Amino acid sequence: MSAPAIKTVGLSRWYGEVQGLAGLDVTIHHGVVGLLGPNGSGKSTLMRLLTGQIHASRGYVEIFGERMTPGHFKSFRVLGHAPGEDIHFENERACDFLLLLAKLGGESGSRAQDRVDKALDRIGMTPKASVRLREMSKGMRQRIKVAQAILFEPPLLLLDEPLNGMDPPSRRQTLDLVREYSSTERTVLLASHVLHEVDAITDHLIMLHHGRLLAEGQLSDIRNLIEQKPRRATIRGEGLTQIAAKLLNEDRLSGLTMEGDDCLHLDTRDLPKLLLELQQVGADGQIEALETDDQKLDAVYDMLVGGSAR
Amino acid sequence: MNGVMTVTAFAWRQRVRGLRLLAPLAIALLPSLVLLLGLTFGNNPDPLNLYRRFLVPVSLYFVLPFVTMFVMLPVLQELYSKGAIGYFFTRPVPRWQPLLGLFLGGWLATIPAFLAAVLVPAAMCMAVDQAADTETMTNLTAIWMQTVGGLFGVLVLASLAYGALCLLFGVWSKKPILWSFFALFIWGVLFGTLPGDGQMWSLHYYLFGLAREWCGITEIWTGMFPPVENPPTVFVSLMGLGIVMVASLFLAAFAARQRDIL
Repeated sequence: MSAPAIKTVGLSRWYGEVQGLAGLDVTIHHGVVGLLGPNGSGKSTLMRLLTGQIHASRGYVEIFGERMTPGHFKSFRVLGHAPGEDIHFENERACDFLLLLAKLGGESGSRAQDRVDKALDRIGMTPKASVRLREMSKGMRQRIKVAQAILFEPPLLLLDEPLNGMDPPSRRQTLDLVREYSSTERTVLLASHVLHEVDAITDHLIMLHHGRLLAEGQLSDIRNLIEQKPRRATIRGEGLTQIAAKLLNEDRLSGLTMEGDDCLHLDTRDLPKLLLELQQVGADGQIEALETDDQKLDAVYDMLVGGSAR
Repeated sequence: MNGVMTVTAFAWRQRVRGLRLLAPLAIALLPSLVLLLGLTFGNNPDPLNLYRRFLVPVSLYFVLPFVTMFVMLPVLQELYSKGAIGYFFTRPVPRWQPLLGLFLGGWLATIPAFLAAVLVPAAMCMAVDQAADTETMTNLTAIWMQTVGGLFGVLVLASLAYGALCLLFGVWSKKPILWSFFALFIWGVLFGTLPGDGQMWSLHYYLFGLAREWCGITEIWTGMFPPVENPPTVFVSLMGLGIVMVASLFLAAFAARQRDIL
């Protein structure tokens, strides 16, 4: 398929006075894409819009080139969705729940059963097939949600916080499934507010904050973007006012803040050179500790949202 | 239609499993309790007359709307309120298919309650209503069968129409109980029992028409029935019920495309 798996154009959604999503323009082709953002950032709103469960206030969504609207059921031949909400079919056994959805998807008899068996096997839940959903742990229910999304092995998979409540082995298994799934030219959009989960599986990110697109692209690109922004070094020790006075003449310093007598924050666009200079000016042992913000995903995210998001 | 049948079976399981059938059954059996008092303390009552004059209308005024609401409303309301309806609406089938399945499953789940509502009081009355000779007894049994079967038929058909209305309100509104109460009790029961030509605009008017015909109630003024000078024919009654059911299902399917799943 040449059309992008997902394309949103000016996609907006308002809940009364509250802005759920504002003018989102993204295009996703294949592979795993992480959808990142804190709670309330618009991830689930985007997922609902992508699956036609809610109406857009403005803009539109295309799934493989076809406009997605509520009731446009044909797109679900190419789209599987594991929602963020719990399953709620408490009285159903896992196998019955999946069989219900397989049959509703158009399969019948043994073919529907085959699909259920295969999906359960892929998420490692075959031994629990006859357990009722109300008797399952949160992590097991999460895996059943993933199973129903991959029943028909669609080329596009939308997973909303799929790792919530999973134990480490289940997480690993689910992440392996996502990796394997995406290795066959398929697309997985994985929403999460836990940054290292996404960091572990993809470097293609979409970051949302307050319903707006904060950043999009490869993690390395986003890091480059960060490098052009001021970064911070914090030094602790004695006699920091003298060090501050020496550094004030440096052009590369974009900000300098004293916090008490023993803490100095330095903002710069060229952190490596600043660190070299600090080695020189602090050579006589005034600096007891030096900290810099790291470039891990958490740090990138914090910097992008101004440290207020999480 | 494989998907419709699967959802039908799911909805039926949901409504009859565990203790969920208790409330509709309790409602269905309340008139039996009243009848028991009537048979016990009444002044030599005629059981068949008692059943026709009071049990049939009470079933239409009380059992039908309450059982329909108790069974049909949660079918959709639970799925929408928890967002679980999204699992059905993210399949490659039009939304009317799972809706139809939920409707049929809910409707089938009303049948045990309606069976209890017609059979238990009938059994009580028939136990009292004994004839002297075999031939008279055979005739009496046939009359009872017609009356009980007729009432059951009216309840089942009426719950199709009223159930479809409940489904429509379940999809269309976030306060389906309020709307359903208005439709079943105000528009249905109350409006349908008011004297005058206006009653023909109520769905209950057509139920009375069917009940009179199928339960062998020929007098215009009979027990608790409203005074209807020209009761509708069976054909007109069935048309009335059918139109309401089809229109409600059609509108429910339309509303399902409009309503957001949150």
